Amino acid sequence: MKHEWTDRLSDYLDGHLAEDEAVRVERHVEECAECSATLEQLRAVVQRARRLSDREPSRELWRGIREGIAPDTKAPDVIDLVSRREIDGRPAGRRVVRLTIPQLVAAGLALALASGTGAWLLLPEVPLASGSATPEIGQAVPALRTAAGEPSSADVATGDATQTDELGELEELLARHRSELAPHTVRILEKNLAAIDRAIEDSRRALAVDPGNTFLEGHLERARQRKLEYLRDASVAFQWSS
Amino acid sequence: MTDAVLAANGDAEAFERLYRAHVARVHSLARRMAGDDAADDLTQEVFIRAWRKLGTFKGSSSFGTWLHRLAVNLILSRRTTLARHRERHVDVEGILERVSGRQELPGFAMDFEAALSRLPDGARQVFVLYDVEGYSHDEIAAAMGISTGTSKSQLHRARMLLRNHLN
Repeated sequence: MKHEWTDRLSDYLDGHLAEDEAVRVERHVEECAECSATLEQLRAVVQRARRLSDREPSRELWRGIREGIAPDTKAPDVIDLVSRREIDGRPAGRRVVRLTIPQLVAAGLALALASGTGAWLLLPEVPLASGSATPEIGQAVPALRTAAGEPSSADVATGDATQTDELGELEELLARHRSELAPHTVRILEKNLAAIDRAIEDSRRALAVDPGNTFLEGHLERARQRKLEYLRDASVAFQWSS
Repeated sequence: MTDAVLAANGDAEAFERLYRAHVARVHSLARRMAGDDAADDLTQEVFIRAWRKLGTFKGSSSFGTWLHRLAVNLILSRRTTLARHRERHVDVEGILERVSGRQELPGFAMDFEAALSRLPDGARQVFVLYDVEGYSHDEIAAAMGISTGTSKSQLHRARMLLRNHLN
């Protein structure tokens, strides 16, 4: 049974209630055995969470990292297509993923809409001063509060050389296999990529005016990531190979 | 000279020592935030990213704290892709409900970590960041792009679901 204060028990436990609310919760808990039991369970969950111990990975990961940090090695945050298929639970071989044209169009429209929205968000008139209202879901994802020297979202937001390399490779794949695709499919792909490219370019221009803006850096990263994922998906869907 | 300074100057052996010292924490964070399947790849990404970013580590906090922040940011930046993967392969809510039902059976005790891994993505990530890692709701809200109210309600949801899995 759910009581008036059931949903506030975590807030009470964490000391997030105003004093008068806390007093009312305490009174209720004294009289309600069910809420009293729930509160104790929640307290136990919190204590259990704090006792969780860290565990080593079950396989050795250093070798891959060592290869990834070698100056002449392709960075592993670019997941090659075969690995990506394995991660996605798909066989690394010749599994066919077929998209119908309506599916492709729908995906394209959604992507174009998302990119358009992103571009709109970048308009300089949009007030995005730091410390403004709490962002809602779907808005920018700023970094965790950072002390000096700690990584901010910029650390994960700035497109790096390896991401650029993979983008280049995928764009090359698209160019190479372009003639195999139906003209209207090519139009859809290029229209969507152009929309993403506009968002990337807008982000870059905005960053040139306001360097270090974590919102803009995050947006740039997401736009680049979106392009990467779109091209990866296309390469899987159309079975492009190098 | 600390290993972080040595590593920042290109000493891969020093960086390996840092890896050995911190891999359990990073991997556990990745596993709890993103699931078993993604934890290895994310851990490797975190350390490779850290290697590249070591030049920005100024030593005002411990290397562990710096690395942890980097890991959280990177994992959260991947969560859309990871969520799609989980949706494709795991009926998270369904499993949780089935497990919750089984919990009523005598003698059934589910490991707390396993129950945690079966929470819905948002609730699990907020729970890990708040109750396990000690971030504030304001920090979590800013990092995840949600309101503090949503962060609080997701936390409560996670705790309510997990309370049946204490062992």
